[in-house]
Amino acid sequence: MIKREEAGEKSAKARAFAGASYSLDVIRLKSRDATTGAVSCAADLHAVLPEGTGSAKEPITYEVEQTSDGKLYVTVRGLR
Amino acid sequence: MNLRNVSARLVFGSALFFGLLAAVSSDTFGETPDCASEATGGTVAQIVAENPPQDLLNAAYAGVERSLRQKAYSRLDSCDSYADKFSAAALAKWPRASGSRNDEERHIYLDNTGFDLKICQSVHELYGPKAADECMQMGQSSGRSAAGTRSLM
Repeated sequence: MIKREEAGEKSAKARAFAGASYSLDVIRLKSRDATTGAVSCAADLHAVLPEGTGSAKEPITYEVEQTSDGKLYVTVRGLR
Repeated sequence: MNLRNVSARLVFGSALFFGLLAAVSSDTFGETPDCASEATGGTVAQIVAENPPQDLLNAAYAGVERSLRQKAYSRLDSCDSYADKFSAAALAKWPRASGSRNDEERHIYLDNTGFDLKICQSVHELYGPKAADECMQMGQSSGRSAAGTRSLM
């Protein structure tokens, strides 16, 4: 019974992780490269588990650049 | 800003000592780099989706675990009441089995040899399998093993 409960808990945790939704908050522009237009940004990344059962946030930074073919190229740091 | 349901192409990802570094190029053309644009948010979302931040998710899940523990404590209270209700009868079933001569020794015996198991066996004898199963479930959900380390008496 204990093993079954542990397995059930792991499964519940995995399901919660898989169903997590994310959002950015307090987005800040840190710097902009005048030549390339690339921007460095900071924000809080919020994770909310299904049905609002749990939530947490962590600070991340990211850079947004433009590729030579006109796409955005985003690099994120701080995901743990 | 909702960051879900936006597609982007993963370019690379690697773990650094300060956290995950990952980058994607979005499918959006002609956008000026902007910290808060939808295109940027969607691309960040894709990176997060491709590289779920385990520490962040574990922190979020800690709230769930706290809730589960509170439920367990609540059930433990119920178990305490349950044991209070049945302890006298359960003890009466075990004094000879433990070989002890007085109540104090019986308590020590039960603490050392598995209170849950013993009392639930007694509950089984006294009140049937359904009550015993409920007894074991309460003990296990409260975090005590069958080896039992906590006296409820």
